[in-house]
Amino acid sequence: MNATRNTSLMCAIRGPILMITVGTLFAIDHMGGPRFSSTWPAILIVVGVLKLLERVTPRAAQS
Amino acid sequence: MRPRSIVGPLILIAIGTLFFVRNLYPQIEFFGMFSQYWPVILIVWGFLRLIEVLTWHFRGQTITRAGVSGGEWTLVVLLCIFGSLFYWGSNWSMRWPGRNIRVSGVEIFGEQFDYPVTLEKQVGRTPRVVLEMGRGNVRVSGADTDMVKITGHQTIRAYEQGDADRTHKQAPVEIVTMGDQTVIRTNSDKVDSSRRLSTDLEIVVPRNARIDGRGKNGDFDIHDINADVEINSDNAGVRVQNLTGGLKVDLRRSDIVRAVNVKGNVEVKGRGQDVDLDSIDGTAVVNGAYSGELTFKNISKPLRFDGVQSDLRVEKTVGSVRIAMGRIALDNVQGPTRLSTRSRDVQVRDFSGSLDLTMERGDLELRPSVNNPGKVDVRTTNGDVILSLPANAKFDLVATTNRGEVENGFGAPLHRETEGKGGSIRGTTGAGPQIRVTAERGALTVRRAHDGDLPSAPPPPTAAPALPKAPPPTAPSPVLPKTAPAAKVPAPVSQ
Repeated sequence: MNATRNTSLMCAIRGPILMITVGTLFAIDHMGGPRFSSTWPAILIVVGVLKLLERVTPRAAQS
Repeated sequence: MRPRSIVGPLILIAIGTLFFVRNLYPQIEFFGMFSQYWPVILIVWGFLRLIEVLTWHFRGQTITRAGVSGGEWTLVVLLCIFGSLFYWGSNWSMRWPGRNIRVSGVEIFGEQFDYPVTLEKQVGRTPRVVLEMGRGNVRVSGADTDMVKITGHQTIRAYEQGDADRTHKQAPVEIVTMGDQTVIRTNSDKVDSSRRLSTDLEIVVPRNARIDGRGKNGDFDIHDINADVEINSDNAGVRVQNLTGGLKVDLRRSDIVRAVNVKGNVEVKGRGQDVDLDSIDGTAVVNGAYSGELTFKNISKPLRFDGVQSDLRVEKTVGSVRIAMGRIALDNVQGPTRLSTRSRDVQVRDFSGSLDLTMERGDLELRPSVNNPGKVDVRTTNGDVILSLPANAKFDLVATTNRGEVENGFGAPLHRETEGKGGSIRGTTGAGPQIRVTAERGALTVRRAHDGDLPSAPPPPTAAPALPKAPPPTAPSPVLPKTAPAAKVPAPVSQ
């Protein structure tokens, strides 16, 4: 029960975090930092990390 | 029961507040702010959702499967697209200064505000007028007056009226006297280039005023001036008419430079498309890279053109000289003429005086004038040569090609010889100038020219003079030229 709750939490968290990431990258772009065209791979990294956490969480919850 | 997100209502409240504030305080630049800070909306939105999800989780409430619903994602994507567009639009001119690539759509951002300009000042009869234009067109005309009179309008593109007013105050149009100079300036360099300020002016100046125009982007239209005119701009179309002095034009980019009826020397430098010089009493010197068509008509003194592919010198242009992408045509020019070009078809008609022509790739049509012919020296690398010589002209011809067919349509004193894959046509009709044509590769044709005969006309007219003496032309004409000359001319077309 706890495990499924944790999994669905990770699922639900993914969207907002992705949104924050995209927003931050654009904000950096507009403030004169590195261009979005060069920073976009950060989105892939964030998605990957979240996916990893998703896998790790249930096991952690069961133990 | 699943909890419902608070973000939807919050967005509604935010949009409502935004429009409310905008209506109360119109001077706040909302669109400008939006274009700069829209990513903050994404961040706040994301944080709200995150906090929501965490709160539900710790309270033990059921969590929606996806933290952000499909509808929300659509909104997010739309926000990104519009935000980027607005940002790109408002920063276009800032990031690429000096360049003005207009993309339809960019200009729709912001509104256009117009401010009328009316100024005048006493400057004397022979002032030196310096125009410091930023963006915008200017029209200068000379008149019998000792005043400078300016009318026109300043256009400012901005998101809000208040912002446009500020820009207008920062960059007024002024007439300033500095020593013997009268400076008319638009002060557009005093404001941020992203402000998109442009000034269109009509200026009346004393007829004897020297004009010195400088601009970034905009046309210069100048007429009826009795002194020198100099124009220097990053991007301009220049039109000049009725000038007693000289004209100097230096442009980084232009769509057209046109000068009609100039008494002095004309000098055009830079890059652009078309150049059109007509009725110039002085010399004409044109330097640079031009992608359009260059036309020179009626130039009394030497014409010099130094282009990327071609160089040309002509002593006097009675008729016209046209230089276009793939073609150069000289019609009724007086030599000494010198032309060197790469990969262009060349046509030289009715030229007098000497001709020195070097070309690499392209066909050539040559027709010297009957009056005052000069020495002709032609070298081509690759291309056909057609030489039309007046029937009664005196000359000494040696025309050779190393590889290609040789055809003697002139007849009698000239004779044809074949050597290897090429051949030559040689002959003398009397004491006249030398004509030397050397072709590396290409067909060589020599024929008789007649008045009104177009050099590109098909061969039959060459034989036409034989017709009147021939029997009544009852037979179909195509047959006649073949038989008639053979019966009449003692030494027909030599082999």
